[in-house]
Amino acid sequence: MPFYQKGDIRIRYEEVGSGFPLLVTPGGGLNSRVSNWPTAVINAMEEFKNDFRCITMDQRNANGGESTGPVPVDKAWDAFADDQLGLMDHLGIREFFYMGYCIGGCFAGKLLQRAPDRVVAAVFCQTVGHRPEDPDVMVRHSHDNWLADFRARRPEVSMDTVERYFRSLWRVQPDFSSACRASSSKTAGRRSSSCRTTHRRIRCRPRSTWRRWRRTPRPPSSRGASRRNLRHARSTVCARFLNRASRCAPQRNSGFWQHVVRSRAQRGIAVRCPLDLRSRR
Amino acid sequence: MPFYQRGQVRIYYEEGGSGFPLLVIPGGGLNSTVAGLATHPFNPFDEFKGEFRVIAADLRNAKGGQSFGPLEIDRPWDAYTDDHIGLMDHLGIREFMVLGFCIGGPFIWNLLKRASDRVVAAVPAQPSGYRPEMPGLSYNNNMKGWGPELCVRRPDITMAMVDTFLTNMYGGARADFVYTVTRDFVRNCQTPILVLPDDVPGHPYAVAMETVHLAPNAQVSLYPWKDTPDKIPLAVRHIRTFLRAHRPVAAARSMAAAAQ
Repeated sequence: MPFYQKGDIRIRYEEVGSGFPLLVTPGGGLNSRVSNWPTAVINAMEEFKNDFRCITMDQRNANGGESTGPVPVDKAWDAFADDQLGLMDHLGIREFFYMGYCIGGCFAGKLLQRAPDRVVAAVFCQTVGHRPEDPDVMVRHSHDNWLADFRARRPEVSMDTVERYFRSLWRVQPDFSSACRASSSKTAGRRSSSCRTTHRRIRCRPRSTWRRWRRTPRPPSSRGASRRNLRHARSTVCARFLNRASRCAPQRNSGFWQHVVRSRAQRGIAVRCPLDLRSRR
Repeated sequence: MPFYQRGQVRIYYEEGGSGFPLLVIPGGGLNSTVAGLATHPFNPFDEFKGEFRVIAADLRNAKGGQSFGPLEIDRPWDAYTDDHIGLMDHLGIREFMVLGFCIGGPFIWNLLKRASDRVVAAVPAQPSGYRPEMPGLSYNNNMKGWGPELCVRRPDITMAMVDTFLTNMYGGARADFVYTVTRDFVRNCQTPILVLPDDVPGHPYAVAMETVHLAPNAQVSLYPWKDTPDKIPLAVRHIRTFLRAHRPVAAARSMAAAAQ
């Protein structure tokens, strides 16, 4: 089980396949870890290993994972990006594709901001984002799904540190994909729009956005905004089709749609779009 | 005004731009015309002439169009496909991509059946198809919206002939799926396909998505993609990147060289 170490940060990662590097982040919020892949909607490590050198990692301090490091109380998204870019450096990789599920959408935004010359293309898959009608949803999610187990493992980390960590993640940039914020004097003071500004500036590479219609935090605002703001973004199939189709022809629910939309077949279509990345290598 | 003529068939077409050929089949059912593109969600000439040689034609015998020819009652779909392939031959084009709206969907599948080695990639946009809960929809629409006017213009054609023509086009064994090909054909079609689904009566969403599931190299764009104006550019962007990705390398290189 390989590790990348830098100072007091120790990141567990895995690799499979060969070809152009594809860094993939599983979902799971702050518990994003390698072992989440078998339950992911698409196991990217399995699906793409025949075309790409797939790399994945336990995110720093994810419960159930083996990556550890300080809890950053400031610029928390940058800390994740440091780990991801550091791992790429460690592996001798300069340019790579990135594909992130859930919280990986936020990572994608930050990576594109931090290293636009290295991220050749990116896939946002069922991405986390700010939901204006429920602005604390991710804070609650982190409290409910990460905090208790983490505190049990790391009792030396104070609640004050944790609260400042959450603030840095979810409240400093309470808009859009949370991870990008003003990084230049031009955008300072326009925090609420800075992430969109960042996305609009990203113009050199193709990107894809995957959508998945769920109640948990994949808000329409961030999905649509990602697609609109990224100049080379495109979007693929959405499970919302089922609802729309059902309204038009209810009988489809019982036969074809039960089989097709809710089966692996729809995943198969989605998989084809990232395979289009082959043309970008 | 350019025309392609072959025997009794005379097809009006238009061209714009340069680069790898992109055949555009306008929507409008059997009244598909180049002029009709102005009312489409986007105009492919405007969108793609900057990097492709865009070609579109009036469908044979379309109302308001300038293309004429016999009513080939026994082979309706193939007669139209003859015109598409013949036009490409006339222009000296061997390989091309095709973007078809509405009835362009069934035409695309027929083109793929007839000339799979020539169609490099295809984009069915808001494709037509058979809707089991409205089995007579296409037949009835054309019996009302196409046949009578055609008979007025063409005294040699009767409504009885139109009836047989449309029955052969949309009825019997053809009353299924995309009208022109079987599911087995789509399942084995290796051509890259990008589908932009719709879900109005004549453009069944289920059929569009079924083709995506069956065709091994098919992709689907966002849906709905034309309910609000801000989404249409995203769909166009997807089409553009799809066409670029599947444009033969030699054509892409020559475009890049020309740009420098």
